[in-house]
Amino acid sequence: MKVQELQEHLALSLPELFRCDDFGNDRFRVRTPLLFPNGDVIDVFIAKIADSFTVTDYGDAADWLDTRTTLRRRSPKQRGLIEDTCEMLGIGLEDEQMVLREVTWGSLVDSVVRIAQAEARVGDVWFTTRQAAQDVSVPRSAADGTVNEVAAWLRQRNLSVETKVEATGSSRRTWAVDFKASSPTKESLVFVLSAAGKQSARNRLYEVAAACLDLGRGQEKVEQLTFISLFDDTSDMWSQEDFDLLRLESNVARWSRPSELEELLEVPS
Amino acid sequence: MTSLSEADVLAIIADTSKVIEGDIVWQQKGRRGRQQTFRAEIRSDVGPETYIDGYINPGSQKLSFTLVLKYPIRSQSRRIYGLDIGREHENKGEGMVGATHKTRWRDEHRDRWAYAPPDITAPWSDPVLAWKQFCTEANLRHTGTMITPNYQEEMLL
Repeated sequence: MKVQELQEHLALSLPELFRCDDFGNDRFRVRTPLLFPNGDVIDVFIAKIADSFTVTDYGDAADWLDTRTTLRRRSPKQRGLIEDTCEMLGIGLEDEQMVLREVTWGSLVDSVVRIAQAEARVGDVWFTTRQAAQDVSVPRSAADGTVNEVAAWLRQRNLSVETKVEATGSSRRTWAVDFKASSPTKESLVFVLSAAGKQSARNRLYEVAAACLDLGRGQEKVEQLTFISLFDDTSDMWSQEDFDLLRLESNVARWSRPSELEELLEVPS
Repeated sequence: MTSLSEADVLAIIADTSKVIEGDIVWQQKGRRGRQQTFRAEIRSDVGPETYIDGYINPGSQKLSFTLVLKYPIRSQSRRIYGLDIGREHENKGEGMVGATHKTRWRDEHRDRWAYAPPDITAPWSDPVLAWKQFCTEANLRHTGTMITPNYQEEMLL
C-alpha cells in the first residue's frame, strides 16, 4: 500500500491536519493535530498485516508520560485512569501500548481517531502528578493527595473505613492515624507515608515508627488489630532502610503494589 | 535552590564539571522490550544533583535524552533540558518546531519551550551518535561508552 493511498483515504473524513508518512515495511505514521499538554504532537501508527491493519501508539503515550514526569512507577490511580480510558474507547492495552487489531479499511479512520483521543487522555494523566501541581501553581500537599487516593481505594474494596483516627499509646500520648480499615476478619490501623521532601519524609518516618511502637504496647490494643505502614513509593523518596525500620513494628506495604495492601487488610474477595 | 529559574538552568547547562562515569546500558522497558531506557547519574563539582533519563522506542521511531534536576526536592524532580528526535512539537503562540528539537526550561514557558538545534544531525536510529552530540551542547562529559541498544524489528507488533 502506498502512503498516498492512505493519505487520500484519511482525507475523505479527516482534515488535512492529519498527515501520513511512510515508515517502511508497510508501516505508516499519522501526525495528528492533537497535542500532549506540553505541546508535543500526538502520533498514531498503522501497520498493514495481511488483509487488515493494526492501529497503535507503540507505547508512545506512556513514554511521553514517563519522560515528562520522571516517575519510575505509577500510582494505582494513574494506572486506573489509563486502563479506564482504553476500556471506555474499546482499545486494547498491551504492556502500556494501545492497540487495535484486525482493523478493516472501512474503519481505519475511526480507529486512528480513537487511538489519538486515548493518547490525549493518557497525556492528561500528567495533571495528576506533583510536577503538574507545581506548574499550575496551586499549593498542594503531597501527603494530602496520596491520603485522598488511598481513601478512595479503600472504600472501593467494601471495607469499613474511618479516617483521621485518634489512638492512645502506652505513653498516654495520642497519635493521629490516617485510617482504621475493617474487614470481616481483621482491623488495621493504616499510616500513610508520603512527603514532598527529604526532611519531611524523615520526620514522617520517625513519627510513624514511634506511633507503632507506642500503640503496640498501648492499653487499648486489640488482638486482631494490626499496623500497616503504607509507603507512597511512586516517588524515589524512600530507601530499603526505611522499609526495614518500620517492618520492626508494623506491616509494610507500597502504594505502587496495591495487591500487597489488599492481602494485609484481608480484603474480602 | 528552592524555586527554579531560567538562570539556574543555564548555569547547570554551562557547568563544565558535569560528568557521567561508566558505561550506559539500555534496559528493556516492559515485557515485550520494544522500548528501552536508561538512567545515568551526573556528578558535578559545583552544581546541584542531576541525572539523565534516556528513552528509545523503535516502534514509534523516537529517541529522547532528558536532563533532570533532582535537588532539593526529590519527589518533584524537574525536567530542565532535553533532546527529542522523531517527535514534533508546537510552541504555544509560535508554531511548529521540527521532529528533532530540544526543550529548555524558561521562566515563562517552564519545560514546554522547544527549539531546533543545529548541532544534532543524528537520526533516532543512531542513539550513540545522538548521545555524543547531545553531550557537547550540554557540557556533559561521559567517560564510558553508550552500548548500542538491541531490539528486533519483528517484535514491534
